[in-house]
Amino acid sequence: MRRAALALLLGAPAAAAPVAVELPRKVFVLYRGDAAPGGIPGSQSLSFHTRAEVWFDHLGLVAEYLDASKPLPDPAALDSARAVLTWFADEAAFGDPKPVCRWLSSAMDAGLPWILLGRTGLRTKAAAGFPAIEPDCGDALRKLGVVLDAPRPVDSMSVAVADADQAVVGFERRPDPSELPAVPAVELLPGGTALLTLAFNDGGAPRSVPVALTRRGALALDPFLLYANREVTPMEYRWVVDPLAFFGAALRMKGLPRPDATTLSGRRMVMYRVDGDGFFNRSEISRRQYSGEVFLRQVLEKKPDLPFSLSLISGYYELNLYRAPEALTLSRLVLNRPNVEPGSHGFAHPLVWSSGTLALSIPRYRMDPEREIVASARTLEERFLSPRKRVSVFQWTGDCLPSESDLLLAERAGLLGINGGGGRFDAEFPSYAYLYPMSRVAGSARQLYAPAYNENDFTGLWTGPYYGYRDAIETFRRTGAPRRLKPVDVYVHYYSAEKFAALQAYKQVLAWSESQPLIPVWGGRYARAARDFFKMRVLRTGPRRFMLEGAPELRTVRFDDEPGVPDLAASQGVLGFKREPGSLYVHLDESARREVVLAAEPGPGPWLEEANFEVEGWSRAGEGLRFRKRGWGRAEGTLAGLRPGRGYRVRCAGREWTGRAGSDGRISFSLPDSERWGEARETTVEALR
Amino acid sequence: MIFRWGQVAAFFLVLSGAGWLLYPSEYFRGQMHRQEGDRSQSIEFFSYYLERHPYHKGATIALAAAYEAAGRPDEGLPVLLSFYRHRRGDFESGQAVVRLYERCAMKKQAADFRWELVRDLRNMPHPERRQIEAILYEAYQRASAAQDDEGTLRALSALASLGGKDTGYRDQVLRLYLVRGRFDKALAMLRENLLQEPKNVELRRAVVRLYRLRKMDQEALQEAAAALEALPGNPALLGDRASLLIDAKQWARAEADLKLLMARQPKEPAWPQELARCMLEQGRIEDGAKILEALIAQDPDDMRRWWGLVYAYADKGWHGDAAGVLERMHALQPRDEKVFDTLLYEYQSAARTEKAITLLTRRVRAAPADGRRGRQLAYMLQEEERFAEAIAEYRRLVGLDPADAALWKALAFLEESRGSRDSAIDTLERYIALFPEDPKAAEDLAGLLAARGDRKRAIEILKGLFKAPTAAPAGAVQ
Repeated sequence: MRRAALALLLGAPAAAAPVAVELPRKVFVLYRGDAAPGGIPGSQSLSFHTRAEVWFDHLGLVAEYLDASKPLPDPAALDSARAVLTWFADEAAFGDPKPVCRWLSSAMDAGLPWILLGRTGLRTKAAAGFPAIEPDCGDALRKLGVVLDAPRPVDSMSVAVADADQAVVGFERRPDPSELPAVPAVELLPGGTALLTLAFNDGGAPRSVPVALTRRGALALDPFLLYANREVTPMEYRWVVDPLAFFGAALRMKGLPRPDATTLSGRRMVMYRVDGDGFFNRSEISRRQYSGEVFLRQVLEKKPDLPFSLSLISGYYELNLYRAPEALTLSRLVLNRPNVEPGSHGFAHPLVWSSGTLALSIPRYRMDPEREIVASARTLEERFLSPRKRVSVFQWTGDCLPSESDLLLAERAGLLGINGGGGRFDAEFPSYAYLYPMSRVAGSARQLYAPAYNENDFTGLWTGPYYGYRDAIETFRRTGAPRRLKPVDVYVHYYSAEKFAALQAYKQVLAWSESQPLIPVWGGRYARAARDFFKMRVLRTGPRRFMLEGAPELRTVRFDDEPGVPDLAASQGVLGFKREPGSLYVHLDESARREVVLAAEPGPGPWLEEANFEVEGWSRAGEGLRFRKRGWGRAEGTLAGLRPGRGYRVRCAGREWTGRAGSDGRISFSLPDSERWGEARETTVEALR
Repeated sequence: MIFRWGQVAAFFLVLSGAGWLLYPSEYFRGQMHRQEGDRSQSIEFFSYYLERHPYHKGATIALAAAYEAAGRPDEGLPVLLSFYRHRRGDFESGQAVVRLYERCAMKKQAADFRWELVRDLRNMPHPERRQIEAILYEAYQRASAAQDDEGTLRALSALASLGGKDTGYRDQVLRLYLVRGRFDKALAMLRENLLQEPKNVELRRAVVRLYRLRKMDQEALQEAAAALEALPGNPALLGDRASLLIDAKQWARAEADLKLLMARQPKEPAWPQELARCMLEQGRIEDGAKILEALIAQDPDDMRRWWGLVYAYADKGWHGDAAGVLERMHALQPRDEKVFDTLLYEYQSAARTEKAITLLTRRVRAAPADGRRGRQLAYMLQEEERFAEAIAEYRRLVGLDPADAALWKALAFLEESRGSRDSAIDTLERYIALFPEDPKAAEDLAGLLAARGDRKRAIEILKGLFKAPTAAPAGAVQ
């Protein structure tokens, strides 16, 4: 027996290393570049981009756009492809849809699901009658798992909803099949799951399934995808399907980690950003003061514990009007404050990047991207900043539609570009459909969008009501719960300090943000996390084991509807976790390689549940912890996994907090002094005897 | 002295008069307040002014604007509301109240106030229809977007009551009632509209359809009859009644309506089809068939008309006649497999299997590689006890498709049953060479060999059967 055991040991092969399988994160969206809405080239005006892509950010996926009016790449060679998606506004979007249909067939053959949204787009215009489906496209649709006929004319007595999956359909609006004169006629082939079934009693085919998970993808056809009412201003949108449930199921995301750029140390990020417009406007609050000075005195100086990302327009100083010593002194004062992250808002503030239309009229100057982007930052540094400070952020201006070369210019200059996009979600805009995604792609470059609109969009483009920015609070609330889609982005221009009502509204928003459990960060910090969102590689290394590679600035992944928690002993680079309704947020360290292993229990602690500061150098020290922290304001944190009833001491920079862990093994501590970024401070947590 | 006292006095008098005329009024002076800061000065001034000059329009608007500029728009609402209620029906100030409610994110109050404004506008001596319609239309769209049914219905009903020839709003109300299952309300509304438009065909039809939707067929018939009294001979109503009568299996009555319809709309194919159906259901097969033949003659390329006639015969068991029609169809569309199959079936049903065999034989000769048709033929021959021909066909088929095990077995069985034992043995041997794992076939072969006296070979086969573990042939139950 012993010999047999020994022989077995000696002969046993080495334990096989786990095979890491990369989880594809990209969804390839087909669009027609030669028919871009509004004549604006690129994808930024597409319905998918403006209405739905935000959900793909939330799922941790990356949308990439393929121009279907040009030859498409081999689907089998697409890097990290998870699915292909189409959302056309017309039934016949192509003169000859056959190449696109054949491409979609081969994509499905290569194992990629096809998500068909809105209108088919792949019909062919006929001389008479409704556009028909050619055989190649019919084959592609059958491969998807559906057969489409011409839309069925209906009225309120001939059609009704026979069945609807309540978890997916009726999210912001109930399906209403007789609202339009015709509905899609869809036969779902075996292997699919109907999510919405219509019943007819007009003598034709008795059923249609316009929303379904099919054997090779999914479909959600108009008018059961997104309701749009163009009869009112602003236009009304409502999701009929629940985008998260629908896309999550179609893309088979259950149980997978979602990189998340909204959260840091278990708390939602909040940033405070200001664009340089109106810095030298005379304020009606005090006619002797520039708006910039009003902002400095009434906001910056009164809020030393909040980080502000402030930008200036360097072209101002080319104009005699703003060369006065007081103007230069003011600029210097504002940008050099310790709680200010300096940024550039261009040289002459391009209004339209593609045409070079400028806001500032500077003699003998025509738009030059190098001057607008790189030189403006360097000018501000040289003229105003102390040697320890640098301009690291560029806040896009005007229409915020820089070209690929503009974006690359900023990147090469080491500037984090942000702005454009945004969104609202409040009583006036009561739908998730008004939220932009995290970014926009231009060629090989990516532009980070602002997470929310600035006060311009709340004040009728600055024509009134000037107190409109107070409504941003509702947007922040709704984008934080029940689903946290965005960080809080308190984003205005200096001209908010020009009007009394606007400044009051801004202060109201500031006060709200300070009353919430958020983690304040500079705009650049958010931008680095958002940038790394697109770089992170997610690999499955075993059942419920995931490796996260690259992206050290992205410090959170999220699991939705996950009953388990990270096994802290088995995981690597995991600081802790926090459970929110429906979501599990896992906090990661600053390394470029972490592994999250899920289990029923986390194992022995302690771990970080949440904090309003960023953590580095985390390590266990006996029953306690050692880490470095950096944050703003009074440091607050919650640690869990401690021994109930045991006393603990938290020490940092000569200050300390003591208390006992509750019966749930948690301590919530705060340290008396205020952090104002500075160097990261050594912090220890030790158990008391 | 340069001037006389009188001239000086006159000068000051003129100056005083000019000053009295030109000096700005208190209100004008108030307007000159600098617009800055928290507007406390403006607010104080205009509040005081309004106390002494209530409902002064300019001061009201200025005060509300001052509150907004001070970031306190909610406080401007009572001011504007008070002014509006003093001047009920003033569209401009009414809209100002609505807009202010919206800017204050008070959507419900905005919606409620819209109704107050509409009521007041309607009560004006000369109501401006366009103003009222604009407000109601916006209310309708917003309520519709929010799927606020009560709000939508209220707005639509109000829009519909404005009059005019456009029935769109009324139709939308009806649609909403129906979609939400409020059939009684829908019916009541339709009846009310019918009182005003008794000869409106669409309304009449809608009532009939509504009853049908509720499966109240008797009421639907009564309604259809009443509609035809009001609109005698109307084709759409006749069609509805005919459809109801057919559903109720009242064939004779339906027939009468359908004849009327055919006279009025001779080109509509649905009427003769339904008429034929009625006749067939009453057992008048020939009459029904005549109608359908006439229909076919109108458009011989429409295969649906042919099928109508085929089914008419076949459903009534007139298989021979059905076959006759199918023969004609086959001549027109020789490649139509559905026609071919149905014709075969009808031949057999009509006990004319020899015709089916002839047809199949012709097909097999024309397309010898069509294994399916060959199998059909072989089987049919077998059923007709034309065994020699069946065997010949099976032999041809196994040559065509040796991988089809069923063919081999069918052939062997047939040969054996015809007493051709040697042929059966030969067939089974060749089969087992292709399918060695079939124990049943091996057993059968052993049996035949033994019967022939070749016991040694039979025993060898049986031994081989018991030696290796037998794997069941494909498809066999484990």
